Amino acid sequence: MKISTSEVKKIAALAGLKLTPAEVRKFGLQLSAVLDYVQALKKVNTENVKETASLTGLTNVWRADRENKKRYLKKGDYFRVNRII
Amino acid sequence: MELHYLTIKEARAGLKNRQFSGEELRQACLTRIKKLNPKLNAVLTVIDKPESSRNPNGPLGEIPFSAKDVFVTRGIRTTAGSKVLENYRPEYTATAVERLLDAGAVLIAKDNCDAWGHGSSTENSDFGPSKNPWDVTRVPGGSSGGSAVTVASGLSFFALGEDTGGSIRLPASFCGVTGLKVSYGAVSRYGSIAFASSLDTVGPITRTAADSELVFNVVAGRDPNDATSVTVGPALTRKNLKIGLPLEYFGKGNDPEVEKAVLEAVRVITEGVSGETLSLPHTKYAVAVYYLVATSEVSSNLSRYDAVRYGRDRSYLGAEAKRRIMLGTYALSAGYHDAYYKKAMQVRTLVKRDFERAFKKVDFLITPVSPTTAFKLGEKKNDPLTMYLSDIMTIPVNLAGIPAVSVPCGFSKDGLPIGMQIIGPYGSDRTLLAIAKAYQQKTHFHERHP
Repeated sequence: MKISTSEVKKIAALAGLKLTPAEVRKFGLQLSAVLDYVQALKKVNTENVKETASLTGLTNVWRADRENKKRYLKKGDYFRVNRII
Repeated sequence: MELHYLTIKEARAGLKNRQFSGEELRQACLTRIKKLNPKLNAVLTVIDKPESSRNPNGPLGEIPFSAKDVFVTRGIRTTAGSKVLENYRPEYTATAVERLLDAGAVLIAKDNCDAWGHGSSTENSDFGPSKNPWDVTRVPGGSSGGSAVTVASGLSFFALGEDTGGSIRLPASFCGVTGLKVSYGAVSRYGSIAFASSLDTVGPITRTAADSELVFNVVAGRDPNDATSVTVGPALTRKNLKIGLPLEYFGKGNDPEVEKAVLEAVRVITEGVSGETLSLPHTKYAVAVYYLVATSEVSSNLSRYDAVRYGRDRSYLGAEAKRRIMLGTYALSAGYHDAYYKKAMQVRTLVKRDFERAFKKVDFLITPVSPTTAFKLGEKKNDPLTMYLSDIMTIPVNLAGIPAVSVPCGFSKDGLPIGMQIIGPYGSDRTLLAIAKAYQQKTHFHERHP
């Protein structure tokens, strides 16, 4: 799966990365090699297979909304301003 | 008396009997770090100001430990192995570290690692690689390389590591120590700098499985600050556990010495009863799945490093970080998402199901941790794909979220450690450690030092 220079530049822009022309070329080659490798997944039959998003099966984990004095900001750690809203 | 190679159990006994003091233990480690770290580069930050134990009589009272530099420690520099965070001082401490401190352990060092956890050799650390203490021309494994080295070389009594694709198990096996990759969620990830949130686990690296159990019992359990954390159960006491050998992990491709050592270990554990051979057919797709799922999560998790709230700007990210961010960005982008990310997530389910099916037939699986012993520094550095394939035996476990322990089971002719991996069903962490403990009572590989 060859990835073009323009695609590498577009991905870099999306990811907030500034690349030199040499990097664009180098990463282009390396990413292409990895994408070549992952093409193997095309062969796997995934009909009716649900994606695994959760390993614990937990949903809606709640905790009591209690104060934790250890997590109070100490004086001097922040600025106090007047209430705006 | 040589204090720095005592196990936690031995040290606790010695402290109770007043054979030595906690301060002597701490000094033993600090002296050794001063002497060996310039050569081994295992430690990035030393905490040498005298800090008394919060709980000298606790289960880990006065035991010096180190933590992979991905765990935030309040006021103590935390870099994640990256120049982006070279000067970052966190405002809070990771839950696992807090629990260790509350149990009385004393933090003496932050360990070197591949930047952001990205790597299998610690060569991707922005602060230089760590060296394998058994042969300093070789890698210690990664990404928790520094942590495995501190434990193997007696620079600390135990270390807290992190395993996303093998990052505790691989360095443990390359360095001859015991490393536990816990069930996903068994130890809180609060304060663990995120790599891939559906794969990251926090776990102990120790000189023995008995020590690992001590540390695990301190750090494990639900944390209100980590909504994905769970409390796993006690060890099974049932005898005659059935061992399975997945055929995809054996045979050609493995260093014959590694294969021999692992099969011998199986004989010791099963007392001669043969392990049952079975197949995990989707093993060959696991690395491809991982390098799509993990990198996709990386592209999201590392987007926070924008130099606004902390750290330096993204030009300080290393080549491997950039590679993974871009791979993930591509896999998630419009037009490619279904073909790559969604497909990988589906195949992940199949990898997970392979294990579930196997555990209906056997209780545990044993495999090598790696096809080879520690490779030479520089050997795989220039070929990312070859480096990725180092994790071929450890990755499937992370995809499935199940626990696995890496246990020393031999040495190569060159004197390099060989590790075996014992894999169990979700939640069986304590049983894995029980099996490892029993094995270590019959063998001495874990007692050798570099």
